[in-house]
Amino acid sequence: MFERFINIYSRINPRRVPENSLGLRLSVLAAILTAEIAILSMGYYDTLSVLGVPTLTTAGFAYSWKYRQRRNLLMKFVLSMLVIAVAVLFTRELTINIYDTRLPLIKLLLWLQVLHSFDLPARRDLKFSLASGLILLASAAVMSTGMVYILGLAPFTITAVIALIFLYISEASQQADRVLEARPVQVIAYGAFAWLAGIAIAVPLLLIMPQSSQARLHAQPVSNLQKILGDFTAEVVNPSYSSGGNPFDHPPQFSPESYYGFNPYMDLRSRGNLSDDVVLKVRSDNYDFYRGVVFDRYNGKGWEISSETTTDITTDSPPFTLSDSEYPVIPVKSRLQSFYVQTEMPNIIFAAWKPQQLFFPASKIKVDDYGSIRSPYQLTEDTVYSVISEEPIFSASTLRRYPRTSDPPADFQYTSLLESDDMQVVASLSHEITAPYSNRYDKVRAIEKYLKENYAYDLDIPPLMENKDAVAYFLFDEKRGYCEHFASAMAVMARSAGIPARVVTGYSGGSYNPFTALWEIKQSDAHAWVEIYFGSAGWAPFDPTPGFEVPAGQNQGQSPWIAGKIFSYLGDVLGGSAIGGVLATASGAITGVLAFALTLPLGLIAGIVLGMTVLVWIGQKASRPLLMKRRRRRFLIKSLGPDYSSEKVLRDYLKLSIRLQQRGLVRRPDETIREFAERVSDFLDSREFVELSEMVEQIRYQKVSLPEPSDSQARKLVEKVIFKLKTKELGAWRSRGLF
Amino acid sequence: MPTRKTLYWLLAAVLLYLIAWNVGSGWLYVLTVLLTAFPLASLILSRINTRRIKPGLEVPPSVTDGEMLPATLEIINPSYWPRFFLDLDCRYAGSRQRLFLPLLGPRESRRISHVFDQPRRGIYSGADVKISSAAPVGLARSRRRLETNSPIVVYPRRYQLAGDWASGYKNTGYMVASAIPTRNTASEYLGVRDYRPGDNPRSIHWRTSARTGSLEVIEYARQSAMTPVFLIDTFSEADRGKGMASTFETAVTIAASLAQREAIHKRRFAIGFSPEDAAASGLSHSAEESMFWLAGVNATSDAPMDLQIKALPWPEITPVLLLTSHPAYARLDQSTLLEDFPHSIIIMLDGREFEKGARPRTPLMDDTALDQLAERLDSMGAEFLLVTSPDEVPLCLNDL
Repeated sequence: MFERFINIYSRINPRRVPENSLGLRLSVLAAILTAEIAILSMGYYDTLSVLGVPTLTTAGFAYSWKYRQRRNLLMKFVLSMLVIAVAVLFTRELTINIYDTRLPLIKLLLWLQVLHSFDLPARRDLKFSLASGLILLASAAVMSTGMVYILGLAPFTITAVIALIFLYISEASQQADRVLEARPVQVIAYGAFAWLAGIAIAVPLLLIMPQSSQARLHAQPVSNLQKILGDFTAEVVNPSYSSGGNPFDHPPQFSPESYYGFNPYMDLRSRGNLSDDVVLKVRSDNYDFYRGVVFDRYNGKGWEISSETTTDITTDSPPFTLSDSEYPVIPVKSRLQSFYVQTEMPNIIFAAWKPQQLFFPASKIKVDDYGSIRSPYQLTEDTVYSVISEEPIFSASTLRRYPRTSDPPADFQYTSLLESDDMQVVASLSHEITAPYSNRYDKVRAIEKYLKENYAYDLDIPPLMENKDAVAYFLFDEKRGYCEHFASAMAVMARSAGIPARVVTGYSGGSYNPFTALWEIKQSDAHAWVEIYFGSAGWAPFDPTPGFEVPAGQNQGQSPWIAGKIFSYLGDVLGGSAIGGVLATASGAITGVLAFALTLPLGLIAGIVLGMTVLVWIGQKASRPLLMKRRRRRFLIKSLGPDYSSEKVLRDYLKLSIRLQQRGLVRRPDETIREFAERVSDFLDSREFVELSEMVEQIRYQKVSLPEPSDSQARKLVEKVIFKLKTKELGAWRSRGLF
Repeated sequence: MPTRKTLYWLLAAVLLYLIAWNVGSGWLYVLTVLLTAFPLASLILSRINTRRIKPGLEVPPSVTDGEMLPATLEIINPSYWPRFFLDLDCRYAGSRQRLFLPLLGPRESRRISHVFDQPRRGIYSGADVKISSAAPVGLARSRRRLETNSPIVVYPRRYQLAGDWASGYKNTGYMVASAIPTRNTASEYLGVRDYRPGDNPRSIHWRTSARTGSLEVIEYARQSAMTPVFLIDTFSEADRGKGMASTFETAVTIAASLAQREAIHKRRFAIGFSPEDAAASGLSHSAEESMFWLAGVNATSDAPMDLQIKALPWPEITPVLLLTSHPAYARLDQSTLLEDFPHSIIIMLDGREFEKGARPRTPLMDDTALDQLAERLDSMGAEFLLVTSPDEVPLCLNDL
């Protein structure tokens, strides 16, 4: 029985010709290790995997090299059992988080690669290994959130190219009867050149490749769950700002590392420039605003949150279900966002409005009356969470119908204002702007437009004067300011017109990185906007800041062409430099051209492409006889020698030879001119070509100058030969019944 | 042109692209582009790699079939750019050699000594050299086919034969024939003897038979000139077997061996693929001429050898026919050639033995037909020799 099993097992694992090229094995190992390190360095896996996988892979390659001549049946059997064990572990890990299967899958691939490395006797096994290395690298591409991936991609391509070269040499050497030696340095140098050639072609290809802006398969990644025992404060805690007491009684605080709007208050006296450090990376199909804190009470110097009430939501495993949709009358679109936190942040869970499901690494969260979400702890670097939002799609025609008379009114705090002279002046301005309109939506749009057109966005403004109302100072004195000044002004003006309004702080969408497919949000992308109440249509966002538009309700899809995105991204990265400006302009130009191209009907585009292809094909076919003629002429010229052009006889002979070639009468390399002439004469049944050839021989080989009439004589001979050729052709056609 | 590997790469690129499209990962697009770019780079680089390469081959002017053929293969790169990973497939004189050259420097000429084993009989003008390269990574292959100017004559294999034709007059080449009256030959009256079965009834001397009461025949001593005319059958359908072990090649070897012996003895002979052809080329005693002819002859004829001759310029010759046992020669004894030259030597190669194991073609003469033919030829006075394998040749020839 045991012997039978051994026989069956032996037949399943036939002996293969061992691969003896050490260069090939080392280069494949280098490629595999590069791919493994590219994944393991992302920080998703434990120390055992990070250290164990590369070490065991190297050990496996060494083992395979040493025992490549043996059958290693026992080792294969052990490996088979280990594969089953790894599969069982994978299934177990899959059940822990069914919403994100990527990490367990990649772990499975890594350990399969490790096991496979112990069984690589033949060239074919090494090829499989290289292919699995490519799969690992592709997995790393999916998981990567930064540009650091290129540090894994570049070495992998180099080592893979060198491995392929060694593979090619190994295959060719096996087929050849004899192999001449080459130094490894020469091979590697050529490999480097080949790599550069590949990159040179890859770059323009990348620029013209279309890229989808929307993912069709979604995962909801979330970092490791933390159990929260006990309660926690719902107040916004920002470690960059000190808390305690009334902040408006003290001088304003500002930290470039954190937006002052992410506090329980927003001090409009604060001045300063936020840093350009990336704080969040978001995977989302669209550009969006990510909501953080909502303020509803204006005190002349800033905003506060009037309600401290929150709702606790707990779960044992993700997701949190936040609320049912409260937009029964407005169409909504489901949006998935995955947030990768890059630095320490306040305990605010940012999300696009309106979050329905939250995949967050905690067992408990709090939601305030304004729909803002609080985390039980400050967000740390490498925190990952995902949100599914139902984004309302507001349109002018819809909002003009709301609020209806049957809709409940907004709470009092959304229309309350300070009683001061400054507020009176603001109110009169508001009334002046909104007087022509009867509709709430039109009034709000009028205020928004007024602010956009008459005030400037400026980060360099002087401090707020003492005893001055912040909104009034902005509207009537300074007339320029930050986004929170614009938002505050709009909210106050709306309230003056009796329209419920509140101010929201959060992040704008950031800039899109086409390599990682993530939106990179900097600290300086912190933003403030306004929400207006429209009864049963809910709270609709508006943005009065010049240069900003509310993305909600608009499908701000990306252009499908990578070229424009790359230039745009590089322009953002290089900022205000000259190169950045050039790239930004280039991006605009490319995007514009491609956008125009995309507006054309698909049929027209297809027709243009097809037409150009056909034209190229026709041109190629048509030019072929001409090129062939030129080639033949060059050949004949060479064979006749350099002095042909000085003799008309030789030129005529050349022309005639070309015609004969076209009819299949070609002088063989071993045929003399005289022999060829005899053959042609037999074919044509006339001696004119022989006479002409004799003249050519005399000029060419005997260097005899023929008497003057030789030119005309040669011409006559040529004409006769041509006539004979045509007669011969006609006869052939007649015999074939074509005439 | 792309290889199978290229298709796998491009398939992988398409798959990755589809995944990237659905998953929304930017780096996957980069990976897709790299997978697409390297085959494209290979298409261009492999094409550049084989351009302007010139092969050359230095060989001796002649060699004999089966001998080792020393040669020097020269590969020239006239370009300023090096060439990598060149596969050279050199076919010359029926022999083949594959070389792999990892590097050929700029403006470098590499001379490679090589020995072609087993060159095949023939006249060759040059080697057929295929230069191909799948550099740099084997994803696309470019091929060029070139010919070198390296003529060579590979003479047929021949055996050194001991002895000479079965005759008592080695120097003059005469032999005694049997007592059958023939045309075109001078005959000397020897006497009368008893009738033996097989004797031609025309030779019966009736007067003597009546006197003695038993059949008596007149015996003539025929003078035959042993000027062999070797006639080799080039009928393609009759050629059986493969390569050097085919009936045609064996026939050429036999003819070459015999012609060589004639030349050594400074005797004249003729050689051709038919009586007319032999007559056209005339008698000669030059080994070189005959070997040259034998080197170039091939079994390409569509019809059997024409043995219904009208006249030959030589009245006293001995045709030596080298034929395969094709049914077309079943009535060989009734041909005009055999009628005029009944003392011919027929060396027949039994095609059935030569083509053993191969797919059967037109049936050949069986044992009965062969026996009958042998009997008839024997009665005519012809010498019939059946060869069943190339290994028998030396033995058979030494018996001739």
